[in-house]
Amino acid sequence: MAEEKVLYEVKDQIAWITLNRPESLNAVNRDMVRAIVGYCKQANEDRNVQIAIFKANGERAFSVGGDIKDRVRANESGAGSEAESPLVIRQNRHSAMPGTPAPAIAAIDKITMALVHGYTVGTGLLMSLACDIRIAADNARLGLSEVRLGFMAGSGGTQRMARLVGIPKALEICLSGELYDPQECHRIGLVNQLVPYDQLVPAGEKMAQSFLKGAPLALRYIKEAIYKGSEMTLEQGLRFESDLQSMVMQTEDAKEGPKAFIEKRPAAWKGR
Amino acid sequence: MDYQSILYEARDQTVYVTFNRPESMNAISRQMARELVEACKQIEDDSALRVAIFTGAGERAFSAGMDLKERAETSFSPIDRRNQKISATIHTQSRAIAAMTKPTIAAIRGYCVGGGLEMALACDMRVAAEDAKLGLAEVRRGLIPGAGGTQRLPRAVGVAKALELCLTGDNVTGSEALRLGLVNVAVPAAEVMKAAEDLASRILKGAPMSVAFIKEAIKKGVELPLEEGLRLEADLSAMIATTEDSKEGPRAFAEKRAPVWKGR
Repeated sequence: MAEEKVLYEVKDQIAWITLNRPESLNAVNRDMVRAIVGYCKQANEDRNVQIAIFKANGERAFSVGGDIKDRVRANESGAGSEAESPLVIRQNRHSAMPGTPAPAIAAIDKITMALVHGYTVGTGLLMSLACDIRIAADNARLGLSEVRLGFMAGSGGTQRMARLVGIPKALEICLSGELYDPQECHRIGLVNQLVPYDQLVPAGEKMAQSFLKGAPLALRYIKEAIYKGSEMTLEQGLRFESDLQSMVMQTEDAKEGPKAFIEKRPAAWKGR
Repeated sequence: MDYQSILYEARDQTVYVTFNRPESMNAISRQMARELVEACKQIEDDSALRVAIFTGAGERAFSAGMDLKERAETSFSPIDRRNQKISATIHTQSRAIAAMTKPTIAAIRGYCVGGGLEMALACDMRVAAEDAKLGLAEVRRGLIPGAGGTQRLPRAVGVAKALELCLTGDNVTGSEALRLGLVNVAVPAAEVMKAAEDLASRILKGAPMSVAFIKEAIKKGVELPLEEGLRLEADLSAMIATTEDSKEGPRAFAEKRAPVWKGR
């Protein structure tokens, strides 16, 4: 069953989405794209979820990318296959499956995190780029090898990479198709944190727990302020930030926070 | 889906979506909003449908906007509502209409005000009765046009006129709206649906993908700097050239016959 290739579990306000096809180094086939897109929506709509974390089973890879056998099959079945037609996919019909899960991940309003290890290539890296935070294990090898398959890092690969690491480094990564070691990725800001492989999930949990000390709406508004604000002029961004601040100050949580502080107890967030 | 507050009628390649609460001047209840979001999805998914016409049941109104009685009676979380309006998943009727890739036409008779005008503005084109009344009076209810009105109206009629209409809450007639560029066509009320159908039938003569790509090129491109817009146009033009219909068109012309579109 396709769903078993991707696992979904909600625990303590975190939705864990786990790639589970280690025998194929977590190559992401169409069924898995469908499953991930579904879980992204589920996590986004679940009021009990504040953070979505992506990880993968098997030691050797987070994901080696899109399932190339799928692509060859699609190419050989010819242009008549409407489901594969880039024209249809491009038209953004909600029922058309995107080529990779990246757009669905980027559309999550909650905080998203990718815990990457081993081969993190192509679609694997695209998925993690669509997340807010990346933590890499010291055995990770990251790259965008699409250029060597005759196409491009789509699904935001070129766009997010350039905005993350700057144009010269993004050019180098996307044009060369090479694998980069995690130290370099950490140095250039592609990943937020670098940890030993056996510390990967604990590091993710630790960061998630620190986020969860913040009120749910504050988390989401901060995310929005930072992403959207960065695309505006500073003055517009400041205005935007101020509006979001006004909104969040209206919440019950914004009153609970200072009260809990003074009463020397943990805040009990309500998410409103 | 079984619609309670709207009518959904597919005839050939055109779908007619009618706001069906004439006893309330087709005011938009929460249920109607949900059903409209669903209807837009249904239209997009149905490859047999190529054009959508939105209209109001009865003669008195296209739609009077948000059901204020319902609003006064229900508790309301501003933050939840804001999240709904901007989340990646479309929850609101105006966004759902605006997001459609197929061409949309509003056929307007009577009152087209508040959220009703906002829905009409979310459509690509508007056909109105000469004596229709169009306006955004939210200012007088302690609200603001929050379903796209403050953004789509100025883009349709310019900032000064939009300010005038939104700050006063005044209505304009369909004839005045034609002069302002707010509607494409103004005709006597009895002729509105026919005029909308005429417009739809002329659009249906074009190839399906061409229609979709032209809509995208114009709507997206107009928000880009010219050079980026030209690039978008070039990309869409290249994509169109890969379709069978782009070969059928010139061939039919040379053979002096009507083209037979395949939609791919």
